[in-house]
Amino acid sequence: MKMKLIFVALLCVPMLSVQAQKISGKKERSAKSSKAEKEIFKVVKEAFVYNPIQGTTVTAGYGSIQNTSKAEQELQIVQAAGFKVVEMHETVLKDGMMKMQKINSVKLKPNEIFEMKAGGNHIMLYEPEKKFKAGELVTVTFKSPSQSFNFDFKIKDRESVDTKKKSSQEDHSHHH
Amino acid sequence: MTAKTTTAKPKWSTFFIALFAALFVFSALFFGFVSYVQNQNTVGGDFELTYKDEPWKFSDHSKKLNLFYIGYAKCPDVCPMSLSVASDAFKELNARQKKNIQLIFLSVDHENDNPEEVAKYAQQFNPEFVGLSGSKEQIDQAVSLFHASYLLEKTPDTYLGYSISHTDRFFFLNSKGRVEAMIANPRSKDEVLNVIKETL
Repeated sequence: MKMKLIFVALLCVPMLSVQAQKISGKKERSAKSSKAEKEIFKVVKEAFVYNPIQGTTVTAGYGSIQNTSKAEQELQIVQAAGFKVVEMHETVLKDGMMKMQKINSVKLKPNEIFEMKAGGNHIMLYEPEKKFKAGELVTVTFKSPSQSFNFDFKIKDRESVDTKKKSSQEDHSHHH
Repeated sequence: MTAKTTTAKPKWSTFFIALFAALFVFSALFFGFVSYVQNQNTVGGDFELTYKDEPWKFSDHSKKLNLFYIGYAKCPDVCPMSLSVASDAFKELNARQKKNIQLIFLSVDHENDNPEEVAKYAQQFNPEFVGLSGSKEQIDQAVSLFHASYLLEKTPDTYLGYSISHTDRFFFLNSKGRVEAMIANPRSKDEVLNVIKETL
């Protein structure tokens, strides 16, 4: 009886090993696939969110996202961790006034960059659910019709925002 | 015959001399008046608003130079950017300049920004910044003094539900509230600093 049990156990070990390899392979392929999908967009300019301040329930985030695929892509914003709601907006000069309006989605041609900067396109974040510290990362979820993907926006305190001097060409992307 | 012709000449010359003299005087008065009007700061004036639930009158609190900005606290983009630019500029002023200058932020969102919040909001950029609000009438009166404008629009597709378009400009007011200088779409600390130094 003992011999039979040992024999069965010896047979099972290679079978389990094969199964384990199969599962591992699937996971690897899945990870590779996921990575390949995420490369449709990438952050090409420092992505940041201004630390929410007292007296208001809104703040803004900036950065630049590039369509790195070979096809036109549609970009939509879904959510931002730590905020109740997030939307994409643009500020435009109209009738001598600065007007803010919502962007539901933006279509980007291959290699086209969606630039978000003060006084132009930006993400608007509502009702922070916690207190943030400078340097903390806010995961912002975007989606295209085929997939969703996350970018980390760094929390920045509102200081030294001389926009004409600010050098932000450096790539500080935090791509999940 | 000869006597008649000699008596007619002086009359015409007198007429032309008088005409030129009149034209000269009129032109001098006209251009003098235009120059006088142009040199007068006709835009601006005194206004009353609310600071932390207390009445606030410009003439009671004015300084030698007063930067005035119109916006709203729930504006995520241009308002905080302009206030940050001013804050950066103020950091570079010396003690004497700081004593003679202040920034006044007026929120035109009287329905959603209460005066306490607006005061707190402005102070986040610089503890000396004054955040004001008021009734619609008070706000409209102040805004019209500076030929500025704002427009509240309902935006049901947004979470906030509304948006306020507004003039994006720093008005540099003297102690009487008259506009000495303006910067539209202020984006640079140096630009603001230069005007402060020129007008202070």
